[in-house]
Amino acid sequence: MVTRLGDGDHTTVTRGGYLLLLALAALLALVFYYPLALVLTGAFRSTSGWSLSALTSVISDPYYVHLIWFTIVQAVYSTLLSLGIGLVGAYILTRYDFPGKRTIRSLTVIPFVLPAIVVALGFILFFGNSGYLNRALISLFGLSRPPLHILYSLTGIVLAHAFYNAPIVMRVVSASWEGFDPSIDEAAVSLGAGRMRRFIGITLPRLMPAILSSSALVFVFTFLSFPIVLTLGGARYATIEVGIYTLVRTLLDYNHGAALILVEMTISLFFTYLYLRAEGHLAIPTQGSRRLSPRRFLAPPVSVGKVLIALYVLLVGIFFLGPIVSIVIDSLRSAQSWSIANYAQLLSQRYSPFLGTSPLATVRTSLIIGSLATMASLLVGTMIAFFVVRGRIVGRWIIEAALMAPLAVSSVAIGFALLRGLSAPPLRLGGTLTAVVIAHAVLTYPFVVRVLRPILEGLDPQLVEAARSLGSSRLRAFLDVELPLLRRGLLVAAVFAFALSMGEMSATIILMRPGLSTIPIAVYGLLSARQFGAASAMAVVLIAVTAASFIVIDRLGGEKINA
Amino acid sequence: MPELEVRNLHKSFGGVRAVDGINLTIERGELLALLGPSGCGKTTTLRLIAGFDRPDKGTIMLQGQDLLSMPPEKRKIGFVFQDYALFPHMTVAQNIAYGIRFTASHRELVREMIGLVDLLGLERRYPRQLSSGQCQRVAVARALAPRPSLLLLDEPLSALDAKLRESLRQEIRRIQQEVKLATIHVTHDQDEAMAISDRMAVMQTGRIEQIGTPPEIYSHPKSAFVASFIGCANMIAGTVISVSEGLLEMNASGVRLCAATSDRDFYPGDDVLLFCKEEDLRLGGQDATCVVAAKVILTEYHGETIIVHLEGQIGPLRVRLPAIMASNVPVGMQVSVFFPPQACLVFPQKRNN
Repeated sequence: MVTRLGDGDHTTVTRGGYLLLLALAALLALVFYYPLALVLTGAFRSTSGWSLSALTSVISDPYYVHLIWFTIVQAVYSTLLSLGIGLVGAYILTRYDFPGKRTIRSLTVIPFVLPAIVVALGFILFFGNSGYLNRALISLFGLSRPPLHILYSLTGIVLAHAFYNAPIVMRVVSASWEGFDPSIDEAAVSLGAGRMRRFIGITLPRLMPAILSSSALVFVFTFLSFPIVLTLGGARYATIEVGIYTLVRTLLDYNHGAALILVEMTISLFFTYLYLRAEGHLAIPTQGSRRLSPRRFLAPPVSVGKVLIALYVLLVGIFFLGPIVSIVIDSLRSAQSWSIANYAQLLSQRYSPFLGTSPLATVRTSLIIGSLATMASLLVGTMIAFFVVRGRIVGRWIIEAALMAPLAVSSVAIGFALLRGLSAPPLRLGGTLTAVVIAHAVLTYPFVVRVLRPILEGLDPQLVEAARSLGSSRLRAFLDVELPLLRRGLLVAAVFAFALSMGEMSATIILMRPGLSTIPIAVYGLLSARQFGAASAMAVVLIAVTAASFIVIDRLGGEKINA
Repeated sequence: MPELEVRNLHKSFGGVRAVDGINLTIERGELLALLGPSGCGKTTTLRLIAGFDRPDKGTIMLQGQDLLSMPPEKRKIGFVFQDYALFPHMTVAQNIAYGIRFTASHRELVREMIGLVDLLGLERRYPRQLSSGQCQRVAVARALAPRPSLLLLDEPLSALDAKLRESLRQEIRRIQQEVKLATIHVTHDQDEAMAISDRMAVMQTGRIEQIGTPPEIYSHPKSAFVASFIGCANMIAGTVISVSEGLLEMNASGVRLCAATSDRDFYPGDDVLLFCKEEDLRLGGQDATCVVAAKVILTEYHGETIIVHLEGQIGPLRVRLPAIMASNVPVGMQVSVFFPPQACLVFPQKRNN
């Protein structure tokens, strides 16, 4: 399609557009801004009234200062390790062709949908002192004691974060790298630049936006990471998120919790801003220009580089597959032998003290929340995507940022905000399933927007005008033209939202009242009680949801999905 | 009563006046070409009539009905977009049927339309399986199917290559006359406008500079802008020396040129622009006035004719000659170029231009 030039390229906002925006604003104010504001005012209060004591103690008390410092340090290490693993992966993906390359590239979407609690469980089972890796090393080398002590340390947290985030680096950087026009590199060769000089002088500067944007993204993710630190940090290591959780849920100290959220938001918003700026500089590959042609990895000759690459693939393969395979094996073991007893337990209606309810009720609750949250998220996300793409309005940039703000607020903070906001008038929904559904919808709709937005941007607004000049109302045109063309995107978005909701633990654990449980919370409860077989069976349900959603996303062109 | 009547139409986008007081009438069965450079407001005018944008001021009446109170879907206006805007998820037949799918006889009508635009056998294809020329025909058929009262064509040929453009513009004209439909055809190509329109309107910066039949506009452009836009290739700036008995004499860098003019608003000392079409200039001539010395730079072959590019003492010139003359004007030759006063047009030179 030819890009339209000249004087036709204007869209004016209609009355319907303003009404839509107003409805969205009211909805978000009710379920996001009002609760968040309510919570944040707590940072400026003490039991006796208005006061800055909570805020000053959070930035001067050695306990809190250490908490904040450790959060930053672990995020920096996690980002560096993710970069190290991810950049090598991006290099291999870009430069070589090998069997299964497409699958591996598609698999990099998994961190967006694999619940963190599953990763935590996998790490305990695989890297734990009596985990599969240590047991394998003991029997392999005839050792008397486990050689690796990884868990409940900074190393464990950083490794788990790298598991999660290296694929993101790989995805973003290789997507940018593959778009490079090789002519530029060839021009440098013709000017006599050697390999190293070309890499440092030509390739690296062009990769920089991708590296910076993925680093900022990984930093924010690991800075706000909750389930992994909660389970793998043990008693000694805690981050701001865990600190907020403890303050709110155990100590019921809302004022210090609010002060911590304020500090956390300040830092994460800054890095989110950096991420968005770097993302804006990402080179968009021009269609029709030449692409790098990758070399066949398995074709001769064998070189030192290729041996190193094979070694990397082996280690990274063990690193990524080990924890997941451990969960599956563990779920099939009961009383030292193979059995499906753990799965049979899933369908039990008997009360379990670790869950506070029955396993079957837990699964059912998760499915109900997931379905309702997906519907709500799709509805709100679609409306916002339409507004962001089609609305032409003064200050659109600010409105867009305001609509996408939940992306930059931590899940624990959103959970806490809704705990307060939804219990207060006018909603009075505290402790209900509805509260959890609202929290999940708030947490997932930004992803729906991010999936739909590029598709909607590629959809010619003249199609709607054509339909209208042929006698269709605006609504009819939406149903006849936009909806069918968005169907695949909507399906991908729905799958994304459902998978995210099924795996959500951070906000849920804060909002959930006793007697209600979801699968991730059940995994956490069982894992804390060392009921690994039962925890693994629950986790396998989440892995299955992840795998199913991965297949749907991949089938529908997930490579283009911008999560 | 005219089929369409547009009065005093205004539209600004963020302070830029895209359409600045347009008046138009179109009779039933008439094709009006809206001609102008890109950004002159012609597409905006079309979108205001179709109802995709709302005018700031003005009235639009179609068959005596006020259109402004109606949403686009009620206006009974067929619109053909520059890049067709075919529904990608519908076949050719479904695209054409879209506007009439709730009428009882839509099957027959679609078949009739497919015959009209000559797309037989392609009914089940999707737009991505069609050539751009075929897409264009589908777009026209789709717009015509609901039997609109007015057809708006927004540069429908600009995405096509030159040859296809020519054959399709004849086809658009044929179909338009067959269904006797009032039509506005927006284009920036003056050949296209002249070839198919009953009347043409030349637009600049949101206003209509001149409106008339193609011969009227070609032989009597009313302004320097219209003259240059419809292809007066030779433009010479100069100062008026004298005006008498319908003949204006001017000085252009020391050369005296004459133009026949009935306009009495020129006075000695005025800065003016003189235009002469490339087919009106003559080579040779010994008179002291109306002759410019020039050197042949290049000759371009155009079948029956050639265009000779010259570097004259007053700037570059273009002369169209019969092709058999080619050997008479070798590159580098010194020639004298005669400006026939009856073929020359003068316009005041606006200082702010």
